[in-house]
Amino acid sequence: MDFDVLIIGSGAGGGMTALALCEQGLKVGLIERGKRFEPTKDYILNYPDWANRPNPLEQARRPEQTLDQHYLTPITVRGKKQQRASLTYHRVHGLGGSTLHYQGEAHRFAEHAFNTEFEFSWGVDWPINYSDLASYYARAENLLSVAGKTGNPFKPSRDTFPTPAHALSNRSQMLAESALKLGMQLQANTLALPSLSINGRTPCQHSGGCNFGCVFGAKSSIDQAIIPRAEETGNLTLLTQTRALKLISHASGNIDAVQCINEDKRFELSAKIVVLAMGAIETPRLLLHSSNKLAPQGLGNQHDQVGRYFMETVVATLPLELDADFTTYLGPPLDSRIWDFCRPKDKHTNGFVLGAAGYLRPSTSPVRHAIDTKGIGRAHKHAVRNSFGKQMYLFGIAEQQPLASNRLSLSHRTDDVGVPKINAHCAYSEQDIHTLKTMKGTLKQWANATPTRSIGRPTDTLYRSSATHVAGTCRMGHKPSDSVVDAFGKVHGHNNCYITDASVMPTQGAGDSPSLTIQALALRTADKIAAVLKA
Amino acid sequence: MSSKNHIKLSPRRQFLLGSAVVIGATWAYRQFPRDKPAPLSPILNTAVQITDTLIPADQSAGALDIGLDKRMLARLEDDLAWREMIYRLGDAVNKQAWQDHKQLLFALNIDQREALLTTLLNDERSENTQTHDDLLRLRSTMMVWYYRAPAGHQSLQYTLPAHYPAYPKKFT
Repeated sequence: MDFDVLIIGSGAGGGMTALALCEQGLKVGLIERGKRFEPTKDYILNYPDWANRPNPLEQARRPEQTLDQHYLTPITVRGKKQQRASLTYHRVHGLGGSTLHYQGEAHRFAEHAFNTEFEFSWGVDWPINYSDLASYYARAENLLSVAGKTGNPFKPSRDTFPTPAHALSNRSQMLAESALKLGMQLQANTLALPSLSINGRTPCQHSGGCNFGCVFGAKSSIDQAIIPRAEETGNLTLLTQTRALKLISHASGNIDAVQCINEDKRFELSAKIVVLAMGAIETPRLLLHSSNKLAPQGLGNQHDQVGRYFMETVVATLPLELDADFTTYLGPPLDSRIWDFCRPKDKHTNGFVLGAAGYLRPSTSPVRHAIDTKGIGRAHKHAVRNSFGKQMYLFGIAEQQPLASNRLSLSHRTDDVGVPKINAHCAYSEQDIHTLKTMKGTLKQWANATPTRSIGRPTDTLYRSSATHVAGTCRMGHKPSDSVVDAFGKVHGHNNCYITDASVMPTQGAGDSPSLTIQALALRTADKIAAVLKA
Repeated sequence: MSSKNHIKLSPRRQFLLGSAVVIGATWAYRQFPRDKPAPLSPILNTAVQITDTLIPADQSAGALDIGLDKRMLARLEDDLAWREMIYRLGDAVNKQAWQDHKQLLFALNIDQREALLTTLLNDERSENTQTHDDLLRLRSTMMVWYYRAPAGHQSLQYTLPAHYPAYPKKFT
């Protein structure tokens, strides 16, 4: 055996699994398809002309090697057949995965989010409850030095956060007032952006540039907060720019080896236990592609469950131009949140959250802003000056109902190394569409209560997806007939194969960001794996 | 005493020393601003006027105040496509100014200059497509040069994203 445990994918789940196992003295191999980025060199925000530079993380997000863009989901809206644009799916190939470009949101799911079937008669209940994860949430928060404030009435009670909440940005202070007029409570977001220096790391600098990769190394992405600790144990072997192509399994049902490729070199690696942590699209893709004579439908797919219940990100947005300069580009990009609706208000609406985004991005840099502002001369200069720092958008994110018919399957088209691409079929339910409508209505009310110069047209993801969070395709459950993994992430029918990514989540957590839950689940699964190997 | 210190140089060394003096003098000459720069041709003068019209001085510095005209002219020397574009644009703008006002661009007041360039920028479909494209390109370049510079940031009261480690050095 090459390793005790071989983990495929180094994002939120894979990275956290690796650390937990290394700290328990196990020899871990960690496969990552992308490279290890150097924050002070590779990220464009190191350079004043950043707005005109190609973003290496953006390059690494492109899904051309994963999704068959020819596949379109037909949907019926108000009795008319329509088609959704092919899935747009944001991720990063690089050590740390999508945590390299995330905004650091670190949310514990609300208690009811684990029991939507019991509480609201839709979806499915998780095989575990909040109480099963609470201590793992706390462990993950400590490892990430999460900043936050206790007393959120919409979340379970808890101890203090490892670092204090960030002060609200200028834009959020103003938006808190307008939200209050509508009886909504804008609160400091809980963020894996440490507000104090911990273990010698630089605290968050409020640059607003999280999604370009943190040049300070302040954001608690996996490569900054977790991998160095795992390396210190001496038990971690990193295999970057290496891709897992296929799982090799024989009669016992165990994974005997993982077929890999590094540049053009193909080879096999073996381990006592294999952990899949490639996310809710690549993980089912690998399982489905790893079919053999004994498992002709793919591994873990005896009951045709792999790839089903696909959930993406249901989002509504509303652009605004504020009536004064609130330096909307400064501060943590997602520094505040409204959780008032995370518990559904009625049986026709999914849980959702609202927020305000002030991303630093090329479109809001001085250069891009000037170019995009129409005109020339004195009037142009005045207009550029007058609108800069005022543009932002309000947004709502809802959970999507898990439907068996929303599924990923293998395409007949293959990528450059011969692995079949994915056909993503994902339609919104009537309730999802109703939730979008509710979110847009609430956003409009919020915008109208805010001092703005102009309010743009609301948009949503019904026809054109923009999925930052995907989940559900290898969901956990008690029975192989309606799930892919058990309550500890072990794949049904394969004793040495576990999953620690968002694919195991049966529901999406009422609009909260999934990374902290993925990490808590990963720590729990890692404890289980360590116990199995030490038994 | 002086004859004792006299050093006789070989012809090769005399040549090298002479070359060094000529190169040094040329370099030194180029470092000092000339009292009277050579007058610009009408077309280049028009190009400078366009630059000034695109980003004029107001409560903050304009394009000419931070030397973007000189940067535009300097680029003529080693960028053939840029050179062709500037001459083509200057010529076309002057023709339009003559057609509209019977004067070249530099003789127009700021309102007339802004109106003329705005019309050309908005004119995408007529025979002025080339002029429109050239003007759009010059506009974009000037916006990049100006709003990337400290003067452009000051114009917006833009705070550089909090203390990026390498900015102070790289920005100057």
